[in-house]
Amino acid sequence: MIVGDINPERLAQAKSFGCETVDLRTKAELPDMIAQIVGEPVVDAAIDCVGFEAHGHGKGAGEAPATVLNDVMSITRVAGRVGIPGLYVTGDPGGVDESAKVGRLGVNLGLGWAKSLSFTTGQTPVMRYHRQLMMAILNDKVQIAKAVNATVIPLDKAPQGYQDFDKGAAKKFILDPHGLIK
Amino acid sequence: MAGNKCVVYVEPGKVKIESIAYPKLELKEQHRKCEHGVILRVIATNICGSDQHMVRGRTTAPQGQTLGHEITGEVIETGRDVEFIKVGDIVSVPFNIACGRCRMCKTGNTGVCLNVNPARPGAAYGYVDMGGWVGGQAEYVMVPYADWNLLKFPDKAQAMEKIKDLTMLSDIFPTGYHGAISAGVTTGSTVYVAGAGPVGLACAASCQLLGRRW
Repeated sequence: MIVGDINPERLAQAKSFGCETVDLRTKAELPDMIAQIVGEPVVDAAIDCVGFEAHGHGKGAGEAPATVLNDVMSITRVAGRVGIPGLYVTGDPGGVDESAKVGRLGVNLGLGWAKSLSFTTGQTPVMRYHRQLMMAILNDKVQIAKAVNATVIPLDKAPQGYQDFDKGAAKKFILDPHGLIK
Repeated sequence: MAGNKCVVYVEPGKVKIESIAYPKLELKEQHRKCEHGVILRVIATNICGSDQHMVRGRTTAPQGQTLGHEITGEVIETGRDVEFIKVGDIVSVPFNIACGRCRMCKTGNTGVCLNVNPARPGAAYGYVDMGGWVGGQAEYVMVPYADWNLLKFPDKAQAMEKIKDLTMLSDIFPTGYHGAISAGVTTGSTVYVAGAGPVGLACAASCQLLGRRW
């Protein structure tokens, strides 16, 4: 699969376990970058793992909350499905405009309709998957801690962890309140 | 009674460790005991990208909002009505709090349970507008409807050995996997994942499990 981001450290992390990557800071158009990898400007499936604090592409691009949704629609094959685990909200005091402040975004639904796309939104119902994924972990079928660069810190260091994560550290911080993790 | 250190939101860009009450098996708003709940000693509790929305001041989270919804722990106390989960079990806590009784839970839609948040369907620990449940970036936390919500790990020693992987079961691994499943990823698919944060990476790892081509 191909992973796109504007953070080089996080892209390197994706590469470390075998992902192809596209650097969205470059001027190239996303469909062209996809085509260079898979031979056509579309993919069978696309997933928005960013959510409402998305940024536009290219140098100095600001926050553009519908960017990722419009991106993934543009590169999903007709009649394809778009997964949206990225979080969207009904209220955002820091929204870029009055519409964004109440969760109304400039989503290109016309394009989605014309392409017969389907969308799945909402919180993940964890219980639907956790037992199966536990078995995959316990039987060494997946190295999820390694993939997300799991990094253990004490509970007291949480404020630092939040700051580092906010700056874009390519790490998943695990707080260890009782010092039990080896 | 022991204290309980917890991460709380202070103001945009700032969280701190605060001493909050040790959890009780009670439902405060309903003025009754929570006999279906358990108390966990928290073993691992992750920082989530969705917490960042609160911490950046992008939600209506109030000062003092407790944080933490990615929780793995050891059961240290069980309510009267908990039948199958036992003291000493090491368990993963789904971040969605669900009752197991409503029509949404019965159809597998535990993310929009109807009985755990008076304001809207769906609840989580330590999150604004998600039912007022106390967060789990703490030493101890209470989990309601424990028999329904908790996933018990089969072997304690093995669980502790793989705890850095198993802690991802409370949220980001299923969340990434759900993204892939809901996008129809299967054997031979070409896939684009937008975002290389932890959920994007978990989604990419899920696509590998599902047998994607690219």
